[in-house]
Formats: sequence, structure tokens, C-alpha cells
Amino acid sequence: MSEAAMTAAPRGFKKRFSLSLRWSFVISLLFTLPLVYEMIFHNLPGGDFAQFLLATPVMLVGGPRFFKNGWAALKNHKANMDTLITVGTLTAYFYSIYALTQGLFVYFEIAALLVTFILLGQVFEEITKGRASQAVEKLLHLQAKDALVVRDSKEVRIPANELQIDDVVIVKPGEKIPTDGTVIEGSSYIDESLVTGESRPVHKEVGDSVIGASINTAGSFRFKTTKVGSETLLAQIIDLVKQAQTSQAPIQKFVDKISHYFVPIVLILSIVTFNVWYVLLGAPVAAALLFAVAVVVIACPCALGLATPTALMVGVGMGARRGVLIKSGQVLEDARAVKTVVMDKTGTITLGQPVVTDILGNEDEVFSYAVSLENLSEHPLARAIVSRASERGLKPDKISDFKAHEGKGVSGSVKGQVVRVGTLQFLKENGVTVDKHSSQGRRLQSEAKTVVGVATDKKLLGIIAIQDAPKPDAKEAIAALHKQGYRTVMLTGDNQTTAEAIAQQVGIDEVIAEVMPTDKAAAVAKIQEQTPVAFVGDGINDAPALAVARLGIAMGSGTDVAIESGDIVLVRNSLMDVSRALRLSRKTFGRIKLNLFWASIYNLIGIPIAAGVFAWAGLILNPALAGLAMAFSSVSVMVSSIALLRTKI
Amino acid sequence: MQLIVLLLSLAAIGIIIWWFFGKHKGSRAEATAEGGVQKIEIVVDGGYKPEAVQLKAGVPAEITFLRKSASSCFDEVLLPDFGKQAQLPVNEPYTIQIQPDKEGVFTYSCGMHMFFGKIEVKS
Repeated sequence: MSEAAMTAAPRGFKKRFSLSLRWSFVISLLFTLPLVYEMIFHNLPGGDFAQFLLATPVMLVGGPRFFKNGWAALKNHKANMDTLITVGTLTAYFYSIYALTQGLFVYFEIAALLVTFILLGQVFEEITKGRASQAVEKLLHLQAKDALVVRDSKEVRIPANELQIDDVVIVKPGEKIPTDGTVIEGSSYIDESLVTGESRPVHKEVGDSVIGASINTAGSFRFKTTKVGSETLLAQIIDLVKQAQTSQAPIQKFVDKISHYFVPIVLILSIVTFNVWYVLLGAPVAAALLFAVAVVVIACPCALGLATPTALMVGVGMGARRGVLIKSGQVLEDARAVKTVVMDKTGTITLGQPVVTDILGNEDEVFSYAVSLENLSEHPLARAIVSRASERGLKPDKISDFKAHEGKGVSGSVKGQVVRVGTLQFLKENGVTVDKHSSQGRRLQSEAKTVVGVATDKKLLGIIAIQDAPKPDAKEAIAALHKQGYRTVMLTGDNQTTAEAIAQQVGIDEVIAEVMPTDKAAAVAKIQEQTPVAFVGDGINDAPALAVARLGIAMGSGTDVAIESGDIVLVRNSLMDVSRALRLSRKTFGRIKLNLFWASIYNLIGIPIAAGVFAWAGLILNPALAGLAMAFSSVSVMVSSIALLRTKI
Repeated sequence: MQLIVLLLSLAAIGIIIWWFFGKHKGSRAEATAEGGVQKIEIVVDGGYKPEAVQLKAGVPAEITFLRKSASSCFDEVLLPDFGKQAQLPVNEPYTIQIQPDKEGVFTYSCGMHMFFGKIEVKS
């Protein structure tokens, strides 16, 4: 069998395996119940020999799964839970056979109960484990099975895995979108909640991209496929979640070290316990042996081993279903250290769709020069100017010597004149007198608008004010971060006045303005000298800053670059998800710590009680109950991890 | 009698320390190359055998796990450095494909982090 085949049929395997575990438990339970009756009422017909006859099938049916592995591990110089169960149950069983032949008190019920209790624990463990790992399975089931495509001018329904790039797919109301693509005809509202966590249906029209596995609600439309198979957003999310769930939180390395020593030390402790009771305190062999057996069977290395991976699995899965992709266990520890959240302005705090709001000077003259230059620029502000010019029917003139001055503006020659479009400072540096509009320019900047001057040779023709409005949820999102105790910083290439105006609108603590795109990473590193930083950016221009920050949070509406560059990827473009992602990371790490604390305390308290350290106070533990505690300590850790699902993020 | 028990116990403790913490030579095997893919089988029974497998860097590898133990400890195998995780069926080979690009020694484990194996990637 291979990975692919297994993905297709994991349930069948689980079912078959569970059946044998569950049957082992049921049979063991049936033979153990009369022994419990004997424990309570002491009048089982047949006496000790009947107990032997009842305990033996339990050892033969329920025991081998532990004995075989315990033995195999021992041969490899390894020890685990099976070693402890094997030593504990076989000691009780064979001592009882010896006692039976010598006419002493027998403890068959302890051996049988131990096996039955531990099998019961494993049945529970299997059920809870299934719940903990549901996230990926649920994502896999989101995939559409078929698609209606146009082939040779005919509409044909084909299996979704046969789709190819550039296929034209028809999506009818209520249908699932089979793969990623771009709408080419029609429009509709799409429910993307299952993939991105976005609760409201999103309107899509010609030119908009659609995500595979989302659901078309009302209209009918056609789209051209852009990604198929493993390249789709859903496939990438599944891959990311799988990798994150497999990854290790650094704390796991410490736990692994403890696990290595755990079982042999418990075996030594049980020998010491026997000697203290039998040799030092003069207790009867049977009593000393019961204490030793209790020590062996109460100790549970599994609870320690399960503490981290189960919480990680649940936390990562939970995030994935809400559009928050945590890429590894390491991220959780990094998120815990973060004290300051630094955000890029354009596209992160603002919508990233700047529009022209004010023009000073002769509008046609200003725009005809500006559009000629900005038509060649890839800056977001340039798009606003080009779009406004085309609304006015203005066409770009032919230019030569085009030059982009990073973070300042652009220049070139139009009709024999040197034209410059950029910040007033940039124009000033090039000998342009900007006094004419400087006071209005400052006013516009204080209204959170970016001011761009247009000049021919040394003459200022006019000013264009452009505004990129904050996202509707920006204020709420910043407030949420403050409530969580984070300091917020905005990083932008804009001038100080405009940046401060926006920061004031949304409630940002600190502004670092006029930062060149290439200096963003250095700015993050500088803040990080004082406090660990989470940097939030769109992943496209911010990859270096995302990498430098202790925690990189990429917001990118599911673009490939964003998925590649962030430690946490926010599938939706909502700033509120930053606060959610940080909360989820902290909660998941908190759960790991709680699990580890519980698993450690359980062993630290349980082992001394089992050893009879508190016997002077009348606190003695029956080995069978010790076994029950052991079986359920790992179940309790898993339940604790699953309880994360109830946490609000 | 008590003295004998004490001496036997001390001997047992000594054996436990030597057996579990002493230096023992673990099994090791090198993958065999077949048609551009290196292949190796690991038997899962009370541990991973061979304990360490050697792979060549840059060559795609197929690691086949043959789980012989029904113990729940071995339900799952985790290869965090290669982003792989799998549920292993009992008595049925299960193949995981990895791309060992980086040189180094990578540890994998069972789902409960009790049993460990090594993948040594060399150029």
C-alpha cells in the first residue's frame, strides 16, 4: 500500500483494526466480570482454581498485543508502555499460579483487570484520536467529485481529477466549484466558508478568481481553470496542515529525552519499592510485590508522549478550518514570545486599492503628463492615476528615459520636457519650486492622503491626492490586538503626516514612515532588538521582512507567495485574523503546557502513592486501580487536547 | 533470604541500566537504488529495524514500513523533517515517498514519541 492508496482508504483500515481491539476488550471483559464479583463477594463457585480458569483466557486473548511488543522492544534495548504492562500483569499472574500451588492468597483478578482496563483505555484512545485528526479528513472530503466542462463545444461531465488547465467549467446554482480558476462569464455569490473560513458569501464576476471546493450559491457562471490537482489552494492547504501536524514543537525534544529514561527508571523504582517493603520494612512477599506491581502499572509515559502532538494536531486543524494556517509547531512557541505586532500599511491595514480624491492645478494638463509616466510604473499609486486618466479619456504620450526612483517617484522625457511625478520632497531635490501648493499639500496629507506632485522641468503643474482607505475591520482588529496586550506599529513608505493620519484613524500605537521597500526588513530587525516582533504583510513585497521577524504572518487571499513566505498564513484578507491567529497559537501552546503539566504531575504523584509512600496515612492503591488510572491518563490528555475545539478564537 | 533478594535486586538494576542505557550497536542499512529511486524496507516490531537507514542526498527515496506489531504504539509513524505522517497497517507493507535533499541525520518516531529511528542522508 502507498500514501495515495492510504489516503483513499484510511477508514477501512481503521475499522478492521478497531474491531480486533474492541473484540479483545469485550472477551477480556466477559471473563473479568466474574473475577470482580469474587473481589466483592468472595463466594465465586470453584474458588481459586476458578479464578485461574477465568484469568487465563484474558491473558491469552487480551495480553499478547502487549506481551509481544514488550518482548520485541526489550530485544531492541527499548522499553515502552507495553513493557510496563507486561511486567505488571505477568508478575501478578505468575505469582498467583505459584500461590495457587502453595495454597497462598491469589491475585488473578488483578492480572485480568489490568489487561481489561488497559484495553478499555486503548479503545477510548482510538476514538479520541480519530476526533483529534478529523481536520485533514474533513478538508479532503471538501473536494468536488466531478465537473461540467465544455469539450468540443459540448457540455460534458467529467471526474474532477481529469480537469486540465484552461478548461472551461460551467457551475450551476448550488454546485461545488471543482478547482481554482477565473470567471469568464456570468456572476454569482460564492460560499467560501469551508475553505477560507469567510462567513459571508463573496460576490464574483468576470475577472474574479474562484477557489476550488467553495460552493456556488445562486447564479450560474463559467470559469477558466488556472490550477488543478496538487496546485490548487485546497491541495496546498491540506499539504500545509499535514506538514504542520507532523512537525515538532521544540518542547517535544525535551519530552523525548524524558521518555527515553522513563520506563527503565520506573522498572528500577519498582524493584526499589519491593526491597523497601520486603527487606527494610519486613512486609510479606505478596504485599511488597503488589506495591511493586502498582508502581509499574501506574506509570504512564504515553500521556507525556501524546501531550504535544495531539494539541498541535487539534490547534492546527482548528486554524485551517477558519482560514488560519499555522505552518509548524515552532510557530506556536514563537507566537508566545511576540510582544509587538508590526504591520505593513498598503494592503494590510488599508484596502490596497488607492483612488484619486483631489487634484490641484489644471486637471487635464496634470493627468496627461502623469499618466504618460505612471503607465510604466508598477506602484499601486500609479494604478490609481492611470485609472483616473482613462476615465477622463486621456491617453499616455510616448516617453523616453523612463526611470523609477525607489520610494520617491518616477521621471522621464515627454515631448522634449523632463517630467517628474513623485513626492514633493523628490521634486524639491530636483530643483522644482513646490511652495505654490505646499500648504494645501500638508492639509491633504493630514487627511491621510498621499500627495504626488507633477512637474515639467522645474515647474510644478499640480498636485494629485490619492487615498487608500483603511479596511473596514482595521480599527476593530487593532483594538483586539491592544486588548491582547500587543503594541502595534505601522511600517510604510508614505510620508509621516499621511501615515500618522491613517494610524490615528485605526488606532495604531506607533508609526514608522518613509521606509523604502528594501529597508522594511532592517526596520523590523531594529524593533526586534528590543522586543520580539510579529510582522504582518501581504507576502508579495514583504518576504524579507516576514523572514526577519520572529513570527511572519502573511495575508494574501491565498496567493502562492503568501503561503510560501509566512510562518502563519491568513487565507482571508481580514486583519481580524491576525488577532485570531495569535490567540489560537497562544491557546494551543498553553494547552501543550497544560497537558505536559498534567502528565508530569500524574506520574509524580501517582508513582509515590502506588509505591505505598503514603501507606502510613492509609493511602494504598490496588494495582488494578493503578492500571485503570494509567489507561485513562493518556485518554485524559487527548480529551484535554480535543477540548481546544471549544475555545473561541 | 532477604539478603539474597537484595543482591538479586541490585543485579537486576545493574542489568536494566546496562541493557537500556549501555552502548549497543544498532542495526544499520543502506538503501538500494532502482531506476533512479532508492528503496529500503523497515520492519516495525518492538522498534524500527534497521534502526538507522542510509540514503543518498538528492535521490528520491521510497521507505517501506512493514508493521508486524499490533501494539497501538505503532499505529502512526511521524517523519517531521520530511513533513510526512502515516497510519501503518498491520502485516501490510506501506510505502512513504520522501525527497532527501538536505544532508544530515533525521529522526523519526512513532506517534507517541516512544520509539525512534534514524534516516542518515549523505552525499
